[in-house]
Amino acid sequence: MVKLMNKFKAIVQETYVNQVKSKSFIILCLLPIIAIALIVIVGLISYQNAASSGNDDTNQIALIADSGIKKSIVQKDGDSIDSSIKTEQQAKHKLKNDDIYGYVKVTKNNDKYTAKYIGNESIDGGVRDDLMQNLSLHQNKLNLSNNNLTSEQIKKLSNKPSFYNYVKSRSNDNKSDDNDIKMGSLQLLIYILYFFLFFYSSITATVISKEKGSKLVEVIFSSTTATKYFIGKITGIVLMMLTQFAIYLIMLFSSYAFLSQADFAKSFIKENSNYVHQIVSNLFNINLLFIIFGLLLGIILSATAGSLVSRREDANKAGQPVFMIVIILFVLSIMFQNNSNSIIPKILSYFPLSSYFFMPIRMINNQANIYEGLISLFILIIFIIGLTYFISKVYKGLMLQNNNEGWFKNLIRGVKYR
Amino acid sequence: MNFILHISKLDKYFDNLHALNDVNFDAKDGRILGLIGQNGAGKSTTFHSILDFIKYNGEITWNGNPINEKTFDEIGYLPEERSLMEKATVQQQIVYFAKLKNRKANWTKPRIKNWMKKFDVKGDLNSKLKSLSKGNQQKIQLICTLIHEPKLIILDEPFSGLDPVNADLLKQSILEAKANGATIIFSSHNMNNVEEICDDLVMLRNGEVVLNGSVQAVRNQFGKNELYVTTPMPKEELRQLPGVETVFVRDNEKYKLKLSNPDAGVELFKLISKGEYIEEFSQQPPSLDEIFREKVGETNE
Repeated sequence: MVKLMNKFKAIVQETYVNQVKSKSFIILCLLPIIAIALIVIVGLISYQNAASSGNDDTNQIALIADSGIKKSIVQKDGDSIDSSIKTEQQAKHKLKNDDIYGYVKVTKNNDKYTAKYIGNESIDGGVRDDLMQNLSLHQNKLNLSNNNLTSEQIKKLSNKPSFYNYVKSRSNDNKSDDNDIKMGSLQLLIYILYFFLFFYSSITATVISKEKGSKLVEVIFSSTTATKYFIGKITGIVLMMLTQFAIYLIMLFSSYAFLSQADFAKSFIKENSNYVHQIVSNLFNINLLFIIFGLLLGIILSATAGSLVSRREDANKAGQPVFMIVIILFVLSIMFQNNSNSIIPKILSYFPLSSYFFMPIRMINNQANIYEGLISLFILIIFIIGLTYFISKVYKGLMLQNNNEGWFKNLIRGVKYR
Repeated sequence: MNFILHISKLDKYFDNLHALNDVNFDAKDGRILGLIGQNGAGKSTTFHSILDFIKYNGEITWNGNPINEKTFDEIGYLPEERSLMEKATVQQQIVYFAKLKNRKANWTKPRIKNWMKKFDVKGDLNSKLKSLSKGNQQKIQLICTLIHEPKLIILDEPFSGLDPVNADLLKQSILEAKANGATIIFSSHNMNNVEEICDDLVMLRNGEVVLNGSVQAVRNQFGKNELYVTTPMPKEELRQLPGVETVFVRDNEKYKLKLSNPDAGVELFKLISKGEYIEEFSQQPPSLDEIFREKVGETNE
């Protein structure tokens, strides 16, 4: 028994080592590094831009007003106001030279304050609000002193409605954020599945169809059983996939740790950490199992598809039947991602060929609970076990028959072969 | 202990094609069996049955046991279509295939060099297989077939594509394996190779065994009715001699006469030599090549 396991190990090892050393795998593993490096570079550039633009004079406006009014506003918005400008003449000149981007002139006519803004671009909202608040204060004073009211009357007049602003920090009832998180999670889920299914399906189908087309498989089948070969190949590729996931996770966490320390990204990460955490928690649960088992199913189907090709030259086309399924699932999941509680996605979320797309979608949309998820996952796993058992029984026939009548006829022939 | 490959009542249909029809033969240890026949006669199908690649009716045993994954370790198989892994090096390829025969890497590795020397492979352990010439790739595949010291060696058309020098190297290693007690069975449609190294032969025609036995016995079964002579006598005159059926001109003054009866040789010697020195007078059974042609020809009638 131990001796016979050696052959299985040899197949797994050969598959795994060859794949992990391949160029496409290395490039794929480096992809996130490249992406993160790009983000870092873009972040750095915009950070420097923001820092340098802080000293830019054109962020300022001029204010021409009574010294009392001007003083109280400059106190508040000193950074935004060039207080050295005193007359409209000066202001016009400075505006021409782009030293300021506009000026406000406050005048008093018939006991009423009027503010007029002239500029190259519209006035900063914060400065305008402060200005208006200040002016209305002064206007009030003016109104009061002009009408000789009693202190009681003044008190009553000064009654104002209150506005209390309570903002819970990042609460769950924040609807728009919640939607963003859902959308982000769904998109990420669909694209991860789509991309990895394609990648691993094509690798599996190509590897196997090459070994079949070249008749290498005859040597292998004169040494070990087709079942061992089939399961060994799949195991090798699944190990490769897990290696890749592990590499990505390490990269993700270390770059997250790095970025949350780095000056230029710290605030960005802080602002978005909640968003990131929510998405991660949407995917790192039972949905991760769906992703892994979904990919496993894709690999098994591709290993079968690879055995249906009879010539080495057709190896690149070997994955086609699986690609078709993947594309259909991709389109359907994009279609139904926001409408995942209708009858079609509901059915698809239990059907093993599509459940790994649709059950996670429905769970992210809070339309299925954990028990429904577990049932669907259970169906998927049972299906995978059954399929593996069945295919491993007919695999010898599939791999050794050499008809070239299209994959479907080849499948039927291969199944009948033994 | 005798290592015998025993095949009895082997029968196989592909759809409506009767690919093998009641095939019976044994291959014994320390002997080389040649499986001959035209393309499509059922040679590869026979091998595929032995290796359990296909379902068949009948019985195939190795030392009395059915062939399964365990017995695979004692089998070395060279498929008709040659192929090796695309990206591997010489060592990786050989070690991988040996592992599938339950030979550990550290058992195989030290033996590779010797084999490469024996087959005169140009290249070293770390050469990429793609970079080797076709002939050298073929040798690597032969090494893969033989390195785990199999007891039963099955070679499907091993000589096809080999030049005479390399064919000789292959013959040497087959004879060596025989000397070590292996049972060897190979298919060929080149009768010279079969005649040279085989002890036994089985000929298949349309899935049926038409010849089976030791090479000498098979040839003798056809009688010594071929006469090779060198004589200045003209073809016409030879044709008139008693007991001569046909006359083939082999070369200038060299003929091959087909006799109606082997006994005619005694009288013919007198008539052709006329009591004088004669350069060549050799009475033989037909060559395997001729037997092969004759047997193939029978189907067309």
